[in-house]
Amino acid sequence: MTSTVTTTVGCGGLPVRPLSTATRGRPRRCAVRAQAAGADASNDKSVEVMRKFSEQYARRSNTFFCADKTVTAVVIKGLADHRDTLGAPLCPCRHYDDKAAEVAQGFWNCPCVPMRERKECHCMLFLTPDNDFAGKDQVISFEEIKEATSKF
Amino acid sequence: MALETCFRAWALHAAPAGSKDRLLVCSSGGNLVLPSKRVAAAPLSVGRVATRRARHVCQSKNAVDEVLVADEKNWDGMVMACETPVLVEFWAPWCGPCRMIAPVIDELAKDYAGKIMCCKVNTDDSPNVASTYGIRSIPTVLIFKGGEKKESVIGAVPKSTLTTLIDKYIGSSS
Repeated sequence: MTSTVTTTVGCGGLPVRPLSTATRGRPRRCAVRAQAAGADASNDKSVEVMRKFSEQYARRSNTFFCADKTVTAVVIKGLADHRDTLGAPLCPCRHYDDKAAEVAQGFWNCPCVPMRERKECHCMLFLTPDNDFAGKDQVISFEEIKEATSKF
Repeated sequence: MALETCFRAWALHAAPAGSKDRLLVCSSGGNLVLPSKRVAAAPLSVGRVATRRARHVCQSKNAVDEVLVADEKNWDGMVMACETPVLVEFWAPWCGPCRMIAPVIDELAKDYAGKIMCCKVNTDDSPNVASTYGIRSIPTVLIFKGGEKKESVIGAVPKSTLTTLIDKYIGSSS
């Protein structure tokens, strides 16, 4: 986790970063293409991590993905983005005044406390079988996620 | 002459669904000072040419049937100053349920064109507006009337829930 964050920070560094990086003799990190490719690869990795987590957690909690799988895909992408930028999969379906503080507190890190305690997921990522929107799947492919989240 | 010019402007924007409304608006534009309610809803610069005035009115009329983007810059002028009730959806790019409710808001904007204004706020882009109104869970839909927040609805609710809410606030103005 720490190394991932470090890598992410390195890839997405401030404008000043490339200069100091060049000074240290690591020119490859300066290339825009390398940065973009690195950021994409890193996010893909996070998407895959969150995808696997979601499938595993759905099975473990006996919950199901939404009948509309684009909802599932979008939430997983949101969790991956937060994992990349904040170091933890903070719930993407909430507004926060201070995201870093919320991550540290942990209440809304997925799986959030309401989900862990009462199986309440307002993101509609994990739905109990009786929920009107629940589908029958506990699986979603990486390709499904990429397809559903690439248009926006 | 003014009426004839106005008719031409109307013809340019003609659409089956709204033709009568547009004709009435254009006629008013050509001959009378517009009622204050309409002026507030669709502010116009005073123009010498009736055509220009009429065209603005028609375009403003058209604008009301789609969901407008509200942000921190236009919030006061668009939402707080609006004379009709305003429905505001707070959303975020990677919020799954927001993708479900967005088409519903689009439909409502068309169904209630001219009676309410529908807006959406991206909470990532306008965090201060979201914080001001205590937005926590996304999506949240607020309804404003006379610049005052009246009610909020949390989550991706069915269209019927929102139509019930809206009817409550357009009904009380008649």
